[in-house]
Amino acid sequence: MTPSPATSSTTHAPSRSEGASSRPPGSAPDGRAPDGSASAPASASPSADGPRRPRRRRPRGSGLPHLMLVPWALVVLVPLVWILASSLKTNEEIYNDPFGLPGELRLGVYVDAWRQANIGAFFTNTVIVVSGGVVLTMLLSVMTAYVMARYPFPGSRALYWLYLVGMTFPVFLAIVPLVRIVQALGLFASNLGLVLVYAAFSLPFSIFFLTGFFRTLPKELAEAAFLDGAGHFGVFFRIMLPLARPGLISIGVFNVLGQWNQFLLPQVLNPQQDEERSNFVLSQGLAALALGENYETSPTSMAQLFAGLIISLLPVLIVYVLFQRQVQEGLSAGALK
Amino acid sequence: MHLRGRWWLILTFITPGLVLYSVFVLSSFAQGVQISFTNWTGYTPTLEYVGLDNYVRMAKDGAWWRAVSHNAVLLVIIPVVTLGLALGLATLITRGGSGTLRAVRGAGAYRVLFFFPQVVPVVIIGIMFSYVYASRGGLLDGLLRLVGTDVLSVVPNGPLGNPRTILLAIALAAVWSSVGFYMVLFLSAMSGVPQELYEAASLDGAGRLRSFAHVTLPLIWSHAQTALIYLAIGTMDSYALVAVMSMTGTAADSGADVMSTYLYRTAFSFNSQFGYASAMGTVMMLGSVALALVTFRLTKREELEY
Amino acid sequence: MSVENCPTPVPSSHSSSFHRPTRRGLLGLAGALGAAGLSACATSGAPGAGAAAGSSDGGGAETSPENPFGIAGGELKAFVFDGGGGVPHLDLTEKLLEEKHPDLAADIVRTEDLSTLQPQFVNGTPPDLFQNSGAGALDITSLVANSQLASLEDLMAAPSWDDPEITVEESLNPGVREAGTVDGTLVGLNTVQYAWALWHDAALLEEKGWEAPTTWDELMSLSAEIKDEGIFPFAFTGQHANYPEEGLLQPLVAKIGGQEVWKSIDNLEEGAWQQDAVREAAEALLQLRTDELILPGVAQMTHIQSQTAWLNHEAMFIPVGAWLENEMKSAIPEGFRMTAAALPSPDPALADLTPNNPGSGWYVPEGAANAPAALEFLRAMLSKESARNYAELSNSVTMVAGAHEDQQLSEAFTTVTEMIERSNAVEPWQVVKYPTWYPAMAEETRAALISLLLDDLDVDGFLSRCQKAADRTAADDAIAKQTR
Repeated sequence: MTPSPATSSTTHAPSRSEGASSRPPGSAPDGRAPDGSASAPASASPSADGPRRPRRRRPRGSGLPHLMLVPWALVVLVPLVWILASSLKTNEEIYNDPFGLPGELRLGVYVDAWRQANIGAFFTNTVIVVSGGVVLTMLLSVMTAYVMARYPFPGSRALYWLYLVGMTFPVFLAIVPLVRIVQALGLFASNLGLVLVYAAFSLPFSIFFLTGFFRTLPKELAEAAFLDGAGHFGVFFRIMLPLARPGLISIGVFNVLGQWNQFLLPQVLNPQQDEERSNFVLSQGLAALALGENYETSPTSMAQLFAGLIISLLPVLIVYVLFQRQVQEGLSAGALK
Repeated sequence: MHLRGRWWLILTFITPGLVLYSVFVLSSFAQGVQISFTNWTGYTPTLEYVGLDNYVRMAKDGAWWRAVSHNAVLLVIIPVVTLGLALGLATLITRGGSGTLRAVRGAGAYRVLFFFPQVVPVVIIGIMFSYVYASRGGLLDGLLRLVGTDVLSVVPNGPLGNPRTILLAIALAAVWSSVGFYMVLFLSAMSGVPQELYEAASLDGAGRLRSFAHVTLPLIWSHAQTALIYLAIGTMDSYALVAVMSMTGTAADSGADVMSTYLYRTAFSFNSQFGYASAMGTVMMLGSVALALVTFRLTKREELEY
Repeated sequence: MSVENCPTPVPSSHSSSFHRPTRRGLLGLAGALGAAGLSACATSGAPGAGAAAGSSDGGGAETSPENPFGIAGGELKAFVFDGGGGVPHLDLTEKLLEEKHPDLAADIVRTEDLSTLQPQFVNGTPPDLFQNSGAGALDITSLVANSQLASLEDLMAAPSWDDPEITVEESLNPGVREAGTVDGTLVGLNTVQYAWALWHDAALLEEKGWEAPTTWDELMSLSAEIKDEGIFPFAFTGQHANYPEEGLLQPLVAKIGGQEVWKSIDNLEEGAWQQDAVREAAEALLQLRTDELILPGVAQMTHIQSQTAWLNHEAMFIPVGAWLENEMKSAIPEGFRMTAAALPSPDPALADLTPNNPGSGWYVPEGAANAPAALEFLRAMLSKESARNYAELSNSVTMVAGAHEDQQLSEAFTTVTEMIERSNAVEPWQVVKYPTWYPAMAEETRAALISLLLDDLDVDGFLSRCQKAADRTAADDAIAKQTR
């Protein structure tokens, strides 16, 4: 991510090679792994322009990195496996033997979680709210960031900082007045209310990111388009926006992640309205389940929680897996000057 | 050029976002600060202004300062360990293949896997780690038993029951959940570093460590800086993890009480002192801004272009 | 929106002695945070928030012993805490109400989070009735301070449901009035008896040939024997400090020095924590640690986890309230015979005394639209039929005198009722109030107790920490003081 403006002074690194020109950000680093290692695309550092050096170095302790990477991989995996295993256990098994294997494969708990624990409704609400929230966030932040990056006007710097500083505020301070505001607008306990608030609170980070991103886009294309007679809007929609795709996808993914798991805001603005908590989003619903386990409503009440957790994790994980290349590209493209 | 259409674009593009932001974000924070000058208890439509009383009270409040000190400890541990690990892992993935120049095998898989904790809700991470640290059937206990000891022998009362260790135990959970995000960030930043520089460095005889210090790090410095600021602020404000793992800050003799949990209890357990709690929130806000600025200043470096 | 560190609130501690302990703080935050804002703010304008408040006034009819509040139809809107088990016992109460007042429409909303009512108070549209439990429970002290709760004197003076010859108050066990009085006004109706007991498994005792101890000395010598058998004598939850405080410290101090000791502590009298009775109790409890009688690891255990360990015979005694059986229903092993008993004491005269806090409070807001209907609902709930039904469904004892006399529920239930009877026969338990009045102080004293029991605090340190907390509270003018 590029730093905020006027904060970095640039000097040229004593560079040994010429020709390290900046690539147009729209082209993806090809992910050609030098020496043809069999890893997934975009895994290697992109080869620079210029001839590839065919020289082979002697392999130096190539197992060593794995020695350090594998433990961390385990550290990450074990809890995931634990959640999965716990979703198949009875409460008793979880209390007494949290890290053992389940007695039997009780897959029905996933169906129970969807229906009985009402996770289906939570899921639907979350999809609605997050889709709306992310779309609105992207829309507003793209527009704002574009202006910030390309059309500085007196006060635009101040405005930029105004947005940025919002990222540093502890949400607690705003919570109580926020409730009042939302109520005053008649949006309490509604999906629309959540969408608007999510978007409002997501703007700072998205604007920060996209502004930096837009700054890296070359001016020449825009200038050429103007010369050709295109208007400001035209340049935006037809040239800049498509060029910004990698950045947009990155920030889109981050927003999906952040908004999917957002808890505090819905808890405050979207309290229970009926017995089944049918207005809850996933994070609220899961929390309610997590805390409901004390009441021993069924021998697998905790498993339902973990099953709900897996259900909640999967979409986000899938989104990330699908888009992780673009996320990477978006971030790195923004990194280039 | 084309000044005519310019302002039209600026106006239409800026206004909607600004309206949304002002209505929901700016005004609510402003009101929050306003409440900090009152003694509001949350049940009445009116409130009474008390000037700076709440702030004076905070200055004399030993429990508040204890919370601040805990945040300070976290502020040192979490960014250092998280970013250190993230940088290390990113480097290993980017250039851990044979030779010093290639990516390690399976890098793509690693990248996806390491990001995973980021998608888990923080509350669940807290619950999970509570089970990791548990003395009956906990993961840590299980591992220690493999080497002949157990968690209670190593840490009396357990990591989450011992006032001297609970903060560290929670910090580790925080690190676990955050490393993946920053690793991806650094991976992207590193992917922008041209290959030739590494090749040139290794021609000069630089090993992995040297080329990291002299090639990689300077070129991704601005990313590291942003990451540091972001992480520092997040640590200052973090609530969920601490609250889950320490009973909202009260467990282990308040050994892990931080500003946000103390604020929460002030507002909701201690007779609804919303005014006092808002004063704490305001101070936290000022602290976050100051922290961001200070961190920025201290880590400022010349930006290198390549 | 930040991707990581999205702040998420979390379970609050079980800080109130009246409330059935829960892990609900997460939700408590939401509702509590659902508080509305300032009228000083420009956007104030109060569109009604949340559920609609109570409806048309249903009173105005003639009063009679059958209809002491003069109800003539209308609606009743009530909010009840539902911890996940449903609130089935209220179905019967509703039915009783309906039979007597067919034109009264009752809407009982079950919610996990009472704090969602907060905005309704601020907007001036509260419900007619609410039952205040769970971690989202409303702060009664504040409500009273703002005159937002109605007095329940009319209810107390009304003829009881089953027997019009006696008043409602007379039909209840002692302690209800004291429990529901805040700042001199009776505002709360606490219907359930949350008695604290030191539980054990009678089957295990028998199997090992041991006798249930009645004095403290017996308890200590038995503990040594238990330890020899490889079982730890004591377990409790180290994460919820109110359990050892209410289950061990409170009864022990009262049994050593009488209940006046707690009264002086509640009233923030000088040096109250340094009294001999407190010191002796602290020394006795310290022995639990120095003799290593406490199950290791309890510092990290939640109430459920410690209770589970106890069910597995890892420990013999555990201080928990009367809700234990209900809470651990699905995990009780075959042949386990839960037995409640008062904490043994040095002085045999007070041996049967046990904390017995009326809880599960019902309140009527001052701005209720249909207060008479609310009172009538409560009156119906205090009928023997309702009380017995409640006991059947939840294995809990109510404050309705004589309602459970011949109720044969579970063995554990019987041990609880007998324990309560014996305790009442000694003297009525006066609820210790300082945790409700001064929660910040209680946080400190409870943390000190845990430190005494599990860490390395000594008796002097414990007493001085508690005294300092009390002194700070006394000196702080921002905290409203109460006395009893």
